[in-house]
Amino acid sequence: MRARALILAACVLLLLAVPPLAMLFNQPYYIDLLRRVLIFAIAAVSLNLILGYGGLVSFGHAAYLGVGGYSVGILAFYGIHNGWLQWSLAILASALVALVIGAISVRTRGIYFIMITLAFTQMLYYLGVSVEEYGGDDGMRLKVKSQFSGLIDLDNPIAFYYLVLALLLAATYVVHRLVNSRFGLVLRAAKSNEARTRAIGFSPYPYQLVAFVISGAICGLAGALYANHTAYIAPAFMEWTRSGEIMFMVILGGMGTTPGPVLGAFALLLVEDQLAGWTQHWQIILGPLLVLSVLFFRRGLAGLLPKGRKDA
Amino acid sequence: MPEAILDVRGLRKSFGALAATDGVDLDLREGETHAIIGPNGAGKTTLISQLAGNLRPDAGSIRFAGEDVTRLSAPQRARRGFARSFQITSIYRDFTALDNVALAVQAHAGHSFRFWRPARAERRLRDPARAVLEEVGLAARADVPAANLAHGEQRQLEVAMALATRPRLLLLDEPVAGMGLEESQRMVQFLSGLKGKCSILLVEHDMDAVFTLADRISVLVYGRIIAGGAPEQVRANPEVRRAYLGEEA
Ligand SMILES: Nc1ncnc2c1ncn2[C@@H]1O[C@H](COP(=O)(O)OP(=O)(O)OP(=O)(O)O)[C@@H](O)[C@H]1O
Ligand SMILES: [Mg+2]
Repeated sequence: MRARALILAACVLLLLAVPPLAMLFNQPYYIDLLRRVLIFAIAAVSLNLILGYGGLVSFGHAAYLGVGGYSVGILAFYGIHNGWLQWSLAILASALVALVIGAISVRTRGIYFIMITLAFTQMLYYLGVSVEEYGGDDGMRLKVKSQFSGLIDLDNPIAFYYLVLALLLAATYVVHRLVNSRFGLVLRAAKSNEARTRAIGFSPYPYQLVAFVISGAICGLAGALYANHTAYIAPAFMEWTRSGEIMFMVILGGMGTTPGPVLGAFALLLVEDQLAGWTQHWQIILGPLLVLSVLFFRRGLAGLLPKGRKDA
Repeated sequence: MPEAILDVRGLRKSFGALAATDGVDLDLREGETHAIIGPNGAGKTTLISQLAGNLRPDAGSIRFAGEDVTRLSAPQRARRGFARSFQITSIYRDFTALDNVALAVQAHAGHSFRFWRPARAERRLRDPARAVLEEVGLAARADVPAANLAHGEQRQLEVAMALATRPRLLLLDEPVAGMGLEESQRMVQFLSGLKGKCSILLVEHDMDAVFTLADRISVLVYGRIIAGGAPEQVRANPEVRRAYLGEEA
């Protein structure tokens, strides 16, 4: 327990130290790179709630990145730059989309669930492609970043970095509390043994649906962050490969663990970044690397950490 | 005769051409232990699954405490006081024994749309769960992951989970199957301690267990109840001896 907590605390300290270190070594690129990683870590944390703890293999999580991103982009398009408004819309719209997708998909199991979540995300993707007003296939630029009544300036890369880090820690904590609450235990019970869960008197559907909605809402926030990070919104946010990446982060990092999705996001995106620096054909190397990592770290990267408490 | 707590009429269930439940009438009085015996494939598990709400009957009705529950789902029946054990042990293998039972307590202790407080710190859930583990003799194993328990202990845990829901009707599908002699005697002794506290429908192959526990026995063969009555009557019934006990009358 102590060793694990110490290692995780050290990781957080390291993340806090990134901007000063990057400035010291005159490498601002790393602030940008890690901010991107942290944003995807938020998406992975949100997916972990339903995939890792709920056993719901959602193959369409990029949908909420898109809905969150377009919420910011569309409001900005009409001259509304208020960040409180933009981000609230991002969260609410994502929750609503998750409610619709979840209401239909959560009753299904296995391959049907995967296909339905994928199909809905593809629908949203093509919706983005077809709406010319918002740039269609090319997407649109976010000329003005979200404004927070002067409280924080997202054009300042360091301030933005710390905001993303704070939101990641908050999301991780919220999910950690959720999965250890009564609600979370029912969710995990339904994953572990559905027949038993029904036999003691729980109908899993409403719990799974609520988890699905919460997960979508958190990922929508990641989408709002990502739109500001790239200063750009495009249907590519919702590509199915993106959904696959987020899912891979969770699996690689360790499904159903608190630090897993964050570790997975770091591992995948940093390796990707390194490989891309070496060769154009980095994807050819990344593929087998991922397969090997899953074979070797069955319990994910989090499984390499010293053991925590039983609920960790 | 007091009113039956469980009243089953004309129950039918077919799998393709096979009539697994072929017009079963059955009743269970409050506090009674009613055993169903019958050869392999007679339809005992199919019957229990329909009673518990896991399987929809093709025809017939199930009334529980005066209410028609035929169309209710398994969780709805569980909330009305049904509890079951499965022939193949069904527990949360990746949770500890205590967590397993606490979840069963939780299912009957207020609603579970509570998102913040750690459930494992709720004494309202943990204390009753510990008490039930104590009752079934698993207290010392409370913090062991259920997957690491011995087979007999897992069977006990499953009964503990059923009990933790404070059931009015206990549906037990071969509770002593696969147990050693000593374990199985302990389980039988434990179940006999429940007699009168809740009504029990017991499916069991172990005749010692059946004749120790049952107030009444029904014999199920090819989906039909071919005989029923007090244990000594059933034991003496020549048709039963021929069809099930495998003896020449
Ligand atoms: N889901 C199913 N689909 C098709 N056939 C089934 C199904 N479930 C059970 N059966 C068949 O129905 C018959 C009754 O099965 P059931 O499991 O109820 O018997 P049982 O009395 O519990 O037997 P055992 O003593 O071996 O547990 C068997 O012939 C079985 O093969
Ligand atoms: Mg059976």
